[in-house]
Amino acid sequence: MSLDFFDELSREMWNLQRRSLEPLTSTSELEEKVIIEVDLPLVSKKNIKLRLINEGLEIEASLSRCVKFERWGTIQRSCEFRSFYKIVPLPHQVVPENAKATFKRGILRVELKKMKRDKYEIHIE
Amino acid sequence: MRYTKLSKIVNIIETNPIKKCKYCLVGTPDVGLVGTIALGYIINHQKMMEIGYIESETFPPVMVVHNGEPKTPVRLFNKNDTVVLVSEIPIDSNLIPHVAQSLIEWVQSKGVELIISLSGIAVQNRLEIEVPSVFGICSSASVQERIKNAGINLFEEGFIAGLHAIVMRECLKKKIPNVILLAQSHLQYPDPGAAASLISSLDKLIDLKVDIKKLLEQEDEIRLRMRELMQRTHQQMQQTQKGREQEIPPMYA
Repeated sequence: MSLDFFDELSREMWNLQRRSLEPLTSTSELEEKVIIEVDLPLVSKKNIKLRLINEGLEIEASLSRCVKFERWGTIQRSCEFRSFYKIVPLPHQVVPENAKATFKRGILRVELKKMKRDKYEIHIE
Repeated sequence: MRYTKLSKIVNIIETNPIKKCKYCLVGTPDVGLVGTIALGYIINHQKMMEIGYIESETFPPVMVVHNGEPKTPVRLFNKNDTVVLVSEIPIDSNLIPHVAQSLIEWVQSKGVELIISLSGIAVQNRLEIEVPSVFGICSSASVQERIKNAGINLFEEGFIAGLHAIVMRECLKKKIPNVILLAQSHLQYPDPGAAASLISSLDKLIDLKVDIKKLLEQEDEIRLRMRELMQRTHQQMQQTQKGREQEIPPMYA
């Protein structure tokens, strides 16, 4: 079995300090835009906050009710979670003003227009 | 306990040996975790009994704990003449042929009449689909006739990848009736709606009488709790070329 399996197994999809869960996301890059999808079950549209920050797209969404998980391992963990939180890195610079977002059946879809890079010629001394 | 050594790598351990298996339902984590969700729900709903597990030295050294009880992650359940194989870990692509072979030889020794693999087929417009459709891939004309009579559409062109592809290959070799049921699904988000469609189709095929109401009521909860398995499975699917299932094959037989 590859080591990736254990890397992934040990990578926790929650943050105990924040009491937040990490949502599943997918990022696709098209010619003119970047599309980010986020799976947000137990969330209603009014409780989602989206921000474009230097690190990427920041998603914060409170859950309609707290969720409790029991975990096993070296330390028995039991914790209530209140929200989803994740910063999704962007594969390309985007124009914040042209961002569009929809939320349907618990799936958030954000479309971001790519910023066109002006050509800048570098002069050779 | 009966120990059946069928392959050098994978063994089936029967903790409560059964005599007969008419139907064998198979679901391991893949597209939208559809098969895993559907079979997990059926096992609970039908109050099936755990009858054994699949063991391999090459499985990851993982045990799952349910209600304080450690369990192996790939287990067999039974009720009446139906056996269910369900896995709580994605199966490594190198192990898939061994698992498929062992399972088929074992169910063949129990007089299996039909192996039904449950999975999903990723569709890009899943969000627009209210009730996902189910398609069937059959090992023979008589199985095709059976799924047509159950009102299930045939899957006509495409690739299939993963455990159910190898189970089909082995069934064709050994002339064991096999059908793969695929529900339209999300690729990388757990999809209980697609699992509900699978159960409805399965009900028409083998008359299990499973009410999907509770499954749909728990949809959000299931999606939330299966995030990590989905994440791991998605990585695994990239190894087994699951993404190709949306392609049209270049040649016609």
